[in-house]
Amino acid sequence: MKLFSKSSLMTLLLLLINGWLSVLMAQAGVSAAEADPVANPTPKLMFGWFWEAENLIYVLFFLTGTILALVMFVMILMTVVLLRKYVKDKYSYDILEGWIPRLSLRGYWDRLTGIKLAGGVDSDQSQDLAHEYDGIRELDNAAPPLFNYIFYGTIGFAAIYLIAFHIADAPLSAVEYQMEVAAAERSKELYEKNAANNINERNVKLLTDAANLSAGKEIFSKNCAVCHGANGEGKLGPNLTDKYWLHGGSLADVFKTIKKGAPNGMQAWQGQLSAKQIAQVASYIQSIQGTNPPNAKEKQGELYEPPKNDQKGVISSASN
Amino acid sequence: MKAAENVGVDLPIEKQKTDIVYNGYLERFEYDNKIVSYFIVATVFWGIVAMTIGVLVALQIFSPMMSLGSEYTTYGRTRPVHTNAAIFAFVGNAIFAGIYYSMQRVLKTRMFSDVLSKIHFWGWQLIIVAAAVTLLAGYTTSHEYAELEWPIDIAITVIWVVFGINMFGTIIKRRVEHMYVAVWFYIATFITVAVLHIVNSFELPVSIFKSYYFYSGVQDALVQWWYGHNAVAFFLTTPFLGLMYYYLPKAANRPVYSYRLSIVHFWSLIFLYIWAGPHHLLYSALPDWAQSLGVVFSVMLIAPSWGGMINGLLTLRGAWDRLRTDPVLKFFAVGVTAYGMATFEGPMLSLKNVNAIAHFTDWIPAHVHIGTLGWNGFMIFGMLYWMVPRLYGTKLYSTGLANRHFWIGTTGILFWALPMYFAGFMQGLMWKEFTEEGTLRYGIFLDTVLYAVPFYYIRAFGGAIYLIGVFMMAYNLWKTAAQGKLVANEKDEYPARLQVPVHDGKYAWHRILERRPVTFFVLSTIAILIGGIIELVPTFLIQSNIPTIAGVKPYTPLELEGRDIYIREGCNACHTQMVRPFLSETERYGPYAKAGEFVYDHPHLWGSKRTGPDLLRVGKKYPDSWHYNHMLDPQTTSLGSIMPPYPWLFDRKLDTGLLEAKINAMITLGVPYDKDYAKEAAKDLKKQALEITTRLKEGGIEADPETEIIALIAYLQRLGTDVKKSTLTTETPKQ
Repeated sequence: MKLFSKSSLMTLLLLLINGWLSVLMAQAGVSAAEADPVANPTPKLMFGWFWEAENLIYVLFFLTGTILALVMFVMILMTVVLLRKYVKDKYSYDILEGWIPRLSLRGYWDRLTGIKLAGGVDSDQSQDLAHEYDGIRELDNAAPPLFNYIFYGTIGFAAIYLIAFHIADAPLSAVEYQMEVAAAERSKELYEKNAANNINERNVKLLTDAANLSAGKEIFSKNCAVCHGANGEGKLGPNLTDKYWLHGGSLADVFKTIKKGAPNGMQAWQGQLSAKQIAQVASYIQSIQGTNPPNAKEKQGELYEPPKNDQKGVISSASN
Repeated sequence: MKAAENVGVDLPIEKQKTDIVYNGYLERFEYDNKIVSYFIVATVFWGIVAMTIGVLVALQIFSPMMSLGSEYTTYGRTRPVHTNAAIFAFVGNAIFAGIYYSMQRVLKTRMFSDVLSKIHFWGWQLIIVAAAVTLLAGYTTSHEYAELEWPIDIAITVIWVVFGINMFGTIIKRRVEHMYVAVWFYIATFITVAVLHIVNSFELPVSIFKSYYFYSGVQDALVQWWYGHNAVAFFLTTPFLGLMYYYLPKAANRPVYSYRLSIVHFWSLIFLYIWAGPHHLLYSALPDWAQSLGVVFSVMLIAPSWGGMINGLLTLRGAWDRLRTDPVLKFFAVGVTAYGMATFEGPMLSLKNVNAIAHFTDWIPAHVHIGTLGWNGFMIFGMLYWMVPRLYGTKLYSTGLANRHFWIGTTGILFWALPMYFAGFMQGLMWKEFTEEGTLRYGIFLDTVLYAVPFYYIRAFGGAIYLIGVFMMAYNLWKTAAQGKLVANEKDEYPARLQVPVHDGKYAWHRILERRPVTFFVLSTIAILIGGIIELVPTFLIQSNIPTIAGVKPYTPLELEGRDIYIREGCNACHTQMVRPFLSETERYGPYAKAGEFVYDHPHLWGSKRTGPDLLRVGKKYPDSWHYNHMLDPQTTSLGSIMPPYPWLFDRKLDTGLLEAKINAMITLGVPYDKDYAKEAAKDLKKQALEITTRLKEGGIEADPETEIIALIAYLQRLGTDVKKSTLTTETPKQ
C-alpha cells in the first residue's frame, strides 16, 4: 500500500476531521451545559429531519444487518454440512464458481470482493510476498473493495453524525426527552378528546338517570350477581350495599376495581365490559348504597363515608 | 535454556525462496513446550470451573432456591466469579498458552526466560484463586470485570509486567528479522491492558480488603466503561486476532490472504477501539459529546473488525473441503464468523435508538456470549485440538469426539443466545409500552421479569450442553496426552538474525516498522492513548461537564456503611441506578438522572443489567418495614419475585471498625464532611439506626439497631431523595 495513495489520504483526512470535531465537541459540551434546555422547550430544529430520517435509516440498517449476520451464520453451518456431503476434491471452494456465474452476479461479485475466483488458489503463487514465519506465508491481495466502501461509509457517517448533533441542532437526549413528553401529552389529549369510550377512573362521573341505571342493573345481574348476590348483599364476594369497602368506596375506586380487578379474586372486567358499561354498573352500585337487602354479608374492609360535596359529580346522561 | 549453537548447514530449499538472510550457518535451539502445556491444563481446568459456575448463575437467575441459602453462593457474588473466571482464568490462560507457543515459533527463539515464564504461570493461577476466594467472601470494588480489591490489582500489575518483560525479551532476541502480524497484536494487547488496568484501578485503600475509587459518579462510570469495553477489545479480541493469524493458517496450511489488510485493520482497530467505551453509557448522565464519540467510533469499528474476519475466512480458501473432516477448521470457521457477527451487532447496539431498547435487557448478555462462547470459546477449542497432539508428539485421540464437540457446542450457543435475544427485545419493548390512555402497559416491573423466566430455562439448558462439550474435549485432550509424551523441549534450527538491507518494496515503510520493536511499541502506545485522553481528560477537568446540584449531600455514616453492604452483596449485578431520559422511565421511576447527583459516589453504582427494577429513586418510596420484609423474603412483598433472600443481614452485627477510616478516606477524596467528622460519625450512625428501628417498631417489627439490615435500609431510603427535595423535582406524585 502506498502511503500517499488516494484512498489512504482520504482515510487520513476523515480521521483528522473527526479528531478536530472531537475537540470542538468538548467545547460544545461547555456551552451546552450553560444553555438551559428547560427554558427553551420547543426548539426549532433545522436538523430535525436528520434525526427522524436517521431513525428510519437505523431500523433499515439494523434489520438488514441482523438478517445478513444470521444468513452468514447459517451459511457457514450449511457449508460445513454440504461440504461434508458432496465435496470431495481439494479445490472445493471452486464450487462457488458453479453458482455465481449462473446468477450472473459474477462481475459484481468480483468487483465488490476483489476475490478472483477464476484463477483459484493456484494464482496465489504470483501473489506471494516471500514473507515466511514458521511456515506461514503472506499474500499480496488487495483489501476487498467492499471492505473499503464500508470503512469510508462509516467514517462518513461518523462525520455527518457529529456535525448533525453537535454543530447543527439534531436533538440530544435532554431535548429528545422534552420532545417525547410533548408528543405523549399531545397524543393523550387527542385520545381524551376523540375517543368515544373515554371514561376512566380519573374522569368517571356518577350517572343518575334511569336509562343508565337500569342498564347498569342489567349488567350487574348478568355478571356480578354470581358473587355479590342478586341485590348486592354479598355471597362469595363482599356486600356492596354497606359502607365498608375492601378497595375503596368512591365511584372512582369502584370503577377501578371493576376495571382492573383485585388480588382477592375479583376479576378484571376491562376486557369484557366497555368503559361506559363499567361506569353504568359502578353508578348502579352507588345507587344501591344503604338498601340493606336480606341475608346481607358481614362488613368487610374499611369504612367509607362519601364527602359532602360528592353531588358535584352528578350530571345528566347527556354527557355520554 | 539451552545455548544456541552454530552449525554449518545449508538453508532448506523452501526457505531459500523467502527473504531470510543467511550467512551459511543455522543455529540450533529449543522451544519451551512445558510452559505451554501448563497453561493448557489451566485453560481446561478453569474453563470447566468458569462454565460450571456459569450454569449455576443461569439457574440462580430464575430460582432463588439455587442460592443454596448461603451468602457465599448468592447471585450477587457468584456472577462476578463467573465473569472473572471466564475472562481472566479460562480465556486468559488460553491466551498465554497460545502466545507462548506461537511467539517462540514465529520469532524462532525460546522464550526470553524460563523463570519468568514460571513466575507468570504460577502468579496468574494464584491471582485467580485469590480472586475467586475474595469475590465469594464479598470483597469487591464493584467495577465490572475489575471487581478485585487493591492488593490483587497490584499483583495483577506485577504479573502482567513479568509477562511483558518475558515477551519483549523474546522479541529482542528473535532470529526472524520481521515481527509477524500475530506479534503486533500481542504487543498491542500487552500495552493496552496495562494502561487500562492501571488507570481503572486507582483506589484509595481503607484496609487490606477495602478501598474506594479515586473517581466518583460520572467520571468513575466513564473510566469503568472505558476499561470494561476495552477489556473486551484488548483481552478478548486483539490477542485472539493474533492467535487467529498463527493457528488458522497453520491448521489450514494456507497463506494469509492479504498482508495489506493485516496492516490496515491492525492499526485502525487499535486506534478506533479505545474510543468506543461510552457506548455503554448512552442516555446516561454522561455528557452528550462523550456519548456521541462512543456512537461514531463504534460504527467506524465495523470495517476494522471485519478486516480480521475477512482475512481469516479468506485464508481458508483452498481448505474449505477440509471442513468436512477437520474439527480444528470447523471451530475456527464458526469462531471467526461469530466474531464477525458480534462485531457487527456491537456497532448496531451502539446506535442510540437500538440501544434505547436493548440496553439493560438480556439482549446484552446474548451479544456478549456470541463473543465469548462463539469467538473466544471456539477459537480456544480449535487451538487446543491443534496444539495438544503436536505438543505430545501424537495424533488426536478421537477426531469423531472432537467433531461431536463442535456440533454440541454450536447447538449450545444457539440455545443460549436465541432465547436471550428474544427475551431481551421483548423486555425492552415491554418497559417502554404505554396504553393509549398514557399509562405504562406493564406498570408492575415484575411482570416483565417473569415474562423472561421461560427463556432463562432454555438459556441454562444451552449453557449446560456447551459445558458438556467442554467435558468431552477435556477427556479427548487427556487421552491424547496420555497416548503421547510431552516434547518438553522441541528442537528447531534457523539462521541467526543478520543486518538486512533497507527495504524498497511496496510495503517498505511498514516492513521497517516490523523490525523495530521499540518504535512499534511506542507507535501502538500512542495509537491507543489518543482516544482515552480525549475522552477522559475533559470529563475530569472541565467543570461544566458535571453541573452541580445544590440538594446533593454526602451520605450519612450509616448510609455509607449500607452502601458498602450493597456493594458487598453485588446488588448492582441486577439493579441499575440510572434513570434514562425516556418517558417510560421517568413515569416508572421518577426524574431522570443528572450528572451532579453522583458526585459523592465512590464508586458509581449505575449497573449494566436491569434484572430487577432501577433503584435510583427508590428512597422513601416504600416504608422501612417493606425493605425489611423484602430482604428477609422477597416473595412476601413481591409475589413471584426471583430475588434471593438475604437472611444473614438480619443476624450479623454491622462492623463499624472501619468507619473512621472510611470517612477520612472520603474526605481525602474530596467529599465535604467536616474535617473532624470521623470522630463523631459513630454517634450519628447509632442515632440514625435507632430512628429506623423506631419506625420499624411502629410497623410492628422488632429489629436490632446494630444489624446490617438497618444500614442497608438507611442507604436504600436515601437513594434519589436529594434530588426529589431539590429544584429538579418537576413531577407531582400521582394520586
